[in-house]
Amino acid sequence: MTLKNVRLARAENLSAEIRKRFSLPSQGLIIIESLNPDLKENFVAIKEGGIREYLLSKGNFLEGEITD
Amino acid sequence: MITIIPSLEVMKAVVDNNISSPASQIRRLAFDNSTDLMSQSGVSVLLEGRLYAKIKTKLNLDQQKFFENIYRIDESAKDVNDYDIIKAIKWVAQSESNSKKVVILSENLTDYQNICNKNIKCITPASFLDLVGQAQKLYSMKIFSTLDDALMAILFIIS
Repeated sequence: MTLKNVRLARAENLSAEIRKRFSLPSQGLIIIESLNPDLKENFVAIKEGGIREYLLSKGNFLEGEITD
Repeated sequence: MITIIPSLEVMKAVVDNNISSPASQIRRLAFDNSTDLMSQSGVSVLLEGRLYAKIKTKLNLDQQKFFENIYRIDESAKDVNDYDIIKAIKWVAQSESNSKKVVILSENLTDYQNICNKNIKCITPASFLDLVGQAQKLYSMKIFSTLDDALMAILFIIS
């Protein structure tokens, strides 16, 4: 499945049904992923590891150093 | 409305591999907090185009998709001769400040000192976390009716 779009949401603004289906907390930052070719949505809660942890869930960062 | 512009050292802390220092942790938290504010208020995060080109070299396609969908990437200074990332951030911040309040997140405040004014604040990631915490507290106490108002007051009027 390929990531096609990403949106930000708040858990507190999502329905109880979605929170239950995706095991989301009742509050906090949520990333909504649109995936295809079998078009579907996935909801991911941002936990203590923050954005970096979310990015790493998509794979390791590529090798190389960022220079100034 | 507030636009947050992180500097390169902040973004390095998010996507570089050797980033275990306490200072890096604070920078990551400041970036996480900025993203969190986007979901709660009218705050947006702008990545300067040259800066994004640097961090993009570390990202796979899904990670690039995340950055390009969530954050505003401003390439207006991308191909300008003699511009480094600091000059480009300054130019973009000044342009952005014509329509929004701008916060530049950097450890090196002297780099941006000459463009700071009533519409552009340059603050360290640690100060940013402290000030945003104060704004969130005032908003939760209902001293301000919106988080945007609380952020505007704390970041641009009181501090």
